[in-house]
Amino acid sequence: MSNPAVITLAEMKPGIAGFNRIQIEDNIGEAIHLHLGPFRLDLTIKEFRTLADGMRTALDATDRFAPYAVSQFDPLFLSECGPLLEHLTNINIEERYIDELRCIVHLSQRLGFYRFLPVTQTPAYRFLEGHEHPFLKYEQNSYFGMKNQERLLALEDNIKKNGYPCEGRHIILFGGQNLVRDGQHRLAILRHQRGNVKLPVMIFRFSKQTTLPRIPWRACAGLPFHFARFIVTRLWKRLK
Amino acid sequence: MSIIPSHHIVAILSTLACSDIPYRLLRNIGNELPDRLKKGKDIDILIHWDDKEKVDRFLKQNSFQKVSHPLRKDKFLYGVHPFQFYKHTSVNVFIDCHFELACRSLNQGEWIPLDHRIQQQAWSECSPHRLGGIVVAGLPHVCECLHILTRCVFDKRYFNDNYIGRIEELAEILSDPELLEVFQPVFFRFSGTLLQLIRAKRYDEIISAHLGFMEY
Repeated sequence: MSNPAVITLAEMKPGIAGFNRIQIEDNIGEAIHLHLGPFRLDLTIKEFRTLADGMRTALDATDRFAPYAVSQFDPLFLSECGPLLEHLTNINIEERYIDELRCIVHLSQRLGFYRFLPVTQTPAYRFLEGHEHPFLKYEQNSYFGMKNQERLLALEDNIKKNGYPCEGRHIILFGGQNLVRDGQHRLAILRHQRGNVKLPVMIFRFSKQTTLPRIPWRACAGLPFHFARFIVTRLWKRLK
Repeated sequence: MSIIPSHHIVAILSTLACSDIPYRLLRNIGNELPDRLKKGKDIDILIHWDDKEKVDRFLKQNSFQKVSHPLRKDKFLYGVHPFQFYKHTSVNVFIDCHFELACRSLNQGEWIPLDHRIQQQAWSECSPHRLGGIVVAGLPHVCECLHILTRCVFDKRYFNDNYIGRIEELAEILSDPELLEVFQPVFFRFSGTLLQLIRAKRYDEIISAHLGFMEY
């Protein structure tokens, strides 16, 4: 019996801890499936939430994010940070002018073409200023069944009601860089609402040995990677 | 877009009905057949995979030629066979051959089959469509109802008026237990909520209720 209503909630490629596949799927109406290598755990939503709470408690107990709690970060952002987190030395909050920051805007997510732009040139900000078209078509990882504009407008409402930072969640940068790593939409809304003001932002600082590539900072396979792999494969075949 | 003259459609369907090939007409939404089908549109039929060659020969003998399917680049999982598309050489009409009842997954739009019990039921019974004086074998009402719902929920992601009209016709003649039994292998615990929403004619709430469903 196959369920067509499957949504991949999270996945890690190529996997960790000896598991070549780690994937969490919501099979609507049926179960949450947690795939760990060759195993599959079927959980109810309640069981899955209990498991996630347990994971959060365990992560907090490591003091990795001290003095902050794991609940203050977007879990997807943390999972995308991936291996960098083991080199995290401290987190602090500093104030920055909005226009000092740069946002990562992709021309093609699939091919890995990116630009670093002031927030005023991002599709989200331009949408808020009345230029709808580019943002409606902008390719981004979003909530399932939610359109770009719905997500942005819901966030705008939330900031109007609860202010910034809400529940201790800040815009995040990495030490020594001015690139927004998490919170680009919030930055666009705050720039639209308040102008070029100073904002408290959270800085993740890593050990000095850590190399922090600007892009791709995620484990994403961009055009340069595909091109290099193509060349290496051709050379390897010729040498064989 | 102009309409294909009904005598062409009746001729095509009656040839198919008189053949020895087992088939099911998948749907006739908005009573397009036989006299409202627009040029360039297709007639969707379900056939057995084992009869693929036979159907191919039959259609070619009856002035159809095989053409590339617009969805040929889609992914087909769990044994779903890619659809085959035939164009009539003189009338601008297509026949779209499906080999299983299938729908798109929400994940990446891959085609996956409906439960094997539904597949079996589709062939064990049939409901006739009376079209311009001929009788064409259609899916059993429960299977047709499920097929149309999966089209709306998974493929199209909205309910248009013609689809709603057909769902209502079918829901009127089917009982709650019949519908629940056929919904369950596809919608699982959402089946009860789905039935309530159909009975209350709240079609515009079905897709969001399905995505937001948490009782499992």
